[in-house]
Amino acid sequence: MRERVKTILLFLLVFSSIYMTQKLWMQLPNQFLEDLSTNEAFSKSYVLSDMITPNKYLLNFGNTFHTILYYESQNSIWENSRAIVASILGSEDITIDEITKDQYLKFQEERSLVLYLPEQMNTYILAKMWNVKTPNDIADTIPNINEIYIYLGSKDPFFVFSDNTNFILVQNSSINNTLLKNDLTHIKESGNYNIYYSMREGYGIESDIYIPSEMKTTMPEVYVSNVLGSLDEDAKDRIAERFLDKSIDYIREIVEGNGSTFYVLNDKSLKLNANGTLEYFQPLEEKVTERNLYTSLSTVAEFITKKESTIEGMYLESIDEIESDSNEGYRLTFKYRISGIPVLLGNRDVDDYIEIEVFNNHIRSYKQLTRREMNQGINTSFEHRPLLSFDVLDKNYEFLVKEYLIYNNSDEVNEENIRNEVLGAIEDITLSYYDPNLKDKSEKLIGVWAIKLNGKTYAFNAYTGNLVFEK
Amino acid sequence: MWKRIITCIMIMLSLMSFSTLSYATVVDASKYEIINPEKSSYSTEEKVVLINGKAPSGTEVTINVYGTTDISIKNTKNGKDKNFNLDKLPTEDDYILMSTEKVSSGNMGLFQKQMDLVKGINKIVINFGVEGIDKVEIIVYVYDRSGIVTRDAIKTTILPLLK
Repeated sequence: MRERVKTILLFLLVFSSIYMTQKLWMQLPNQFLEDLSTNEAFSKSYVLSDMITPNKYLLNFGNTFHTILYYESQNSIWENSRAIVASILGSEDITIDEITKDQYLKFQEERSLVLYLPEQMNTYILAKMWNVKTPNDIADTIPNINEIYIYLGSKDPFFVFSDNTNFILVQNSSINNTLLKNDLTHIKESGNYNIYYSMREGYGIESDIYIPSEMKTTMPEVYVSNVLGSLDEDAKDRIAERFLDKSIDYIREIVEGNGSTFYVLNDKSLKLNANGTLEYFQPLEEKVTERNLYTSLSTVAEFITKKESTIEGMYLESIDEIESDSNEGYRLTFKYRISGIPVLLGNRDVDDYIEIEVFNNHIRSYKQLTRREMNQGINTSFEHRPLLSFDVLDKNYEFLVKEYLIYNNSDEVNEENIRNEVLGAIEDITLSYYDPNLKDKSEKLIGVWAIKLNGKTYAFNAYTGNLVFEK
Repeated sequence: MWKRIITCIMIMLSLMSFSTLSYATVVDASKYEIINPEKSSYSTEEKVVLINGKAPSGTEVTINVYGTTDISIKNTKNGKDKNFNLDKLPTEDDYILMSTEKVSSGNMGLFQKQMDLVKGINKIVINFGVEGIDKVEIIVYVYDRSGIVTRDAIKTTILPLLK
């Protein structure tokens, strides 16, 4: 009898220890370590259509009531809007009219949705990326777009495609936008959003930047760590095998004095730096005299699917044309969002989290800073609500005026003119996280209002209004 | 004696008129402006309003929002209906102060405040606290269209399921 009790107690102890271990491991960033070190095929794939997603959504509820969403993880806005935008780009039954900017601005007072793309994109390529087999005349009428307006009112559906200069109204009464209308109604009725207004509506300034009139929500507290720094030799070898497509037995490995590891296989190389960056390089095998964006984007999507394990929150920020020894290609930069909020990187040596040089079918270089969220699943938020971007602008107004006057070599003295000029020159205002990148482990991200002016980004602490970073 | 009194009165009057005149030259009314709401009276179904405007830096602007008694209540004494709207505005006695906010005009010479409204007639009184600058009154009628919205929502939720 006594032995039985002992056995039962032993079983209980074993089960409780398993349970406690599971609880403990759930709170550590081991998912990333597993992801990085595993050599198996990834379950997620970074398909081409995922690459170009809006970096902002403007939801117009009617009249002057708007909100801005940076990410729509809890809703299906992107999924539903991509489906109907793809339908309209491939539809044969459309009417196209050019409208003025004033007419377009008037449409913002109707129930609608505006998708802001990270930068101007070729309309034909977008259509192909969104699986449109035969793009229609829209791609010829407006070759590049960075903004798509979807009307969601009670009248017949219509769209406006814009490159900020041209505004093309497209109508097709057979498009079904019911699901998207439901999304808008759901968000409106939840009331869980911040009301935004445009500077044009608020202050009569020539600017379509939207700023909040009140912040209802706080920002989650986020800590990040370098992933590479915490990997053991075996895990590093697995990464090398994945990038160089060969067993580690065939790869030459050089460990440098500063802790960096260098892997070489023929002309391919991979460097895992002690500062947490990963650098892959493979020289061009043949001349690329004509760049093709669609092919290049497909190559990048395939490369990311094969090599990159942490695609959660990753988004394409910019595409730049590059030339190297008469070869033509593109440099793509990717950023991250954490809890739907974009992260600004404060590292002076590394421009962005991911930078890829692609020449049609060939990836020449891939640089990545592997910093990831530590406290996934733990919901702690900053105690207070962030300041309004209006208050941050106001606090730093003199500084911004000074920067504006220096940049534009202006000596304007009229107070009202200066105010209108400076506010009108602001290119973007976005609530973001700032990653100072000073610590390898448990670095707390700072909530900031990132203000773009004169091509520079100024990050102001969202709680104190102090300038923390400019680039 | 009378001559002296009249002279004194004349001097006092001239001094008073001079002070008013000089004051008028100091306050520049064009620097005080309510940008939003644009209209002095309007109706909406939104229960919030953004109030913003211009005023010289440091000006403390007081915003009072007055609501009315429940619009469905009938006055039992005289049997009159109290369903107020923009054509049938309440008297001063019908208004109740709902909220008061003070906001300062900042370095940009601008101020802004989001205020909550109540169902029915709301009177917003914006006071710049500067002599010579009139208070601004805005009437907002907040109507409830929840019944219609709900029916629409039901319709749009069910329709895709039927297809």
